[in-house]
Amino acid sequence: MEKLQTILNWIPPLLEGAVVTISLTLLSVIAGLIGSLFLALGKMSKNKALNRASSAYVFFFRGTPLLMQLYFIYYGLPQIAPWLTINNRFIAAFIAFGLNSAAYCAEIIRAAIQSIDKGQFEAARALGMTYGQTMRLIIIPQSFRRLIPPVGNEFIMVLKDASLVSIIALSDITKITRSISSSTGSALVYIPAMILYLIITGIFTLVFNKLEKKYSVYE
Amino acid sequence: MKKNLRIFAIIALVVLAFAFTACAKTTKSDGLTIKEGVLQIAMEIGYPPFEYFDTDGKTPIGFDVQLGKAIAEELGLQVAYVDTAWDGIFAGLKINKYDVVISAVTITDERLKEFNFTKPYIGNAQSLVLLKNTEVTAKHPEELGGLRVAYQAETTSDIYMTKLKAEKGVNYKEFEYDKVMNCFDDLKNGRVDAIVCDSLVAVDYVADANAPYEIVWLGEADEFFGVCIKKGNDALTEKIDLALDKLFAEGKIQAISKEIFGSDIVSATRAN
Repeated sequence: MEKLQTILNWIPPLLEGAVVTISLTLLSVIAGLIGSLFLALGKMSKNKALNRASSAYVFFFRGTPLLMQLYFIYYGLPQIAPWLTINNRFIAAFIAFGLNSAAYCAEIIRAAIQSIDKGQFEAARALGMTYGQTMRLIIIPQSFRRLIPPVGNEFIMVLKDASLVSIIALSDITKITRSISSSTGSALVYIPAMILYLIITGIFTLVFNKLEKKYSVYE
Repeated sequence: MKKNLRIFAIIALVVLAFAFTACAKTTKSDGLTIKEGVLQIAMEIGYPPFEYFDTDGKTPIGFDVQLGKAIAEELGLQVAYVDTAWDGIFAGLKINKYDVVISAVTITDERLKEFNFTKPYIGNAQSLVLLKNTEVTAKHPEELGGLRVAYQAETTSDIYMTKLKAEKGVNYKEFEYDKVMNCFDDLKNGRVDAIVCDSLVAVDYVADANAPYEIVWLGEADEFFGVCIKKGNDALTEKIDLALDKLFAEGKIQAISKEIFGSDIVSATRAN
């Protein structure tokens, strides 16, 4: 009973961490998705410069650890030039996570678009639609359903990667859990912390299942 | 297919046999250290001037590194440094991942319940570090209310500041870093207003005349660093204590202090 009481006492600080974790995850993946649409179109483009630039971007951000990217954006940039200093820790983390997520989402989107039957594209062109119209009205809406499962996956990955932010002195769920654990010497704090992660993941999963059902009408 | 299976079984047997002989070998050691002939020292490398990497990024250097080497030499052992994250460094000692922790470990009552310690080899105090031409007027940690204060998480500085907040109501904004080096980075970048850290670390940072930092307050030396050993390993504790006594008597630790801090700041711990 006493143990239960101590565990309950840890919940408010953990929830404070959850605010950082959840807002960072949502904002970065949403920003990443917006950015990635352009990257995906760039990667499929016939324009060589555009194609190369998008490929290089994806290669760099998928090919280096997120931990290093975060470290570099926060501690490295100020050493290159003082005006590159990002004073707000949350914004620095958001930039690193958003840029990184864009690279992963770009591949998700490209795969979803390219999985749409070629006939759809040809039919749209036969009706006299331009490339832009075809993409906007025919291909992208159909690719939504195929996007949903991997994007849901991306949300859950970023949710857990958010624990990296402790290196820039930002307090997310994991950081607060570690703090409590080492100041009280009790590893029991991992129980409510893991439950909290499961609840958040559970909500994400539920939302994505609903979205998937809704967009399945196209299939 | 059957033939493949037989070959596989033979390979598996050979591997098992090797595994068993390997086990037998480790249990045969004389028991002073986990790996025979080697003193394995855990340290959180990234805490200058005690333990950090040389400019090549892989050679550990610093006070504890030299001290560890001197102790190992006294014991007639090889030395191996195990770079370990600070959280978890004590857990690793409990499960025999290394023989000792020499990583600026403060001897506390709580830790004495869980671990063996040698006699102290250096003393330390809390210190308050600001930028040289700062607008911050605080001359004591109690005057840090409203300011952004950086310190390393789960260290004595953390405990000190948390206590100050709880008992004296000093309402500063805390920023807990994984590495003390990043506190100094961020003070220089203007992301925090002040740092509270070990005086021994601060002394090293302000030693360079071009450094932008200055120490504005030094607490009373109230903590002492010792070599941390697994509870119950009295044989090793005793041997290292004897080695330390000898190194002090021969002036070797004083020499390391002069090399690293520019003065002898270790003799005081042995005065009484």
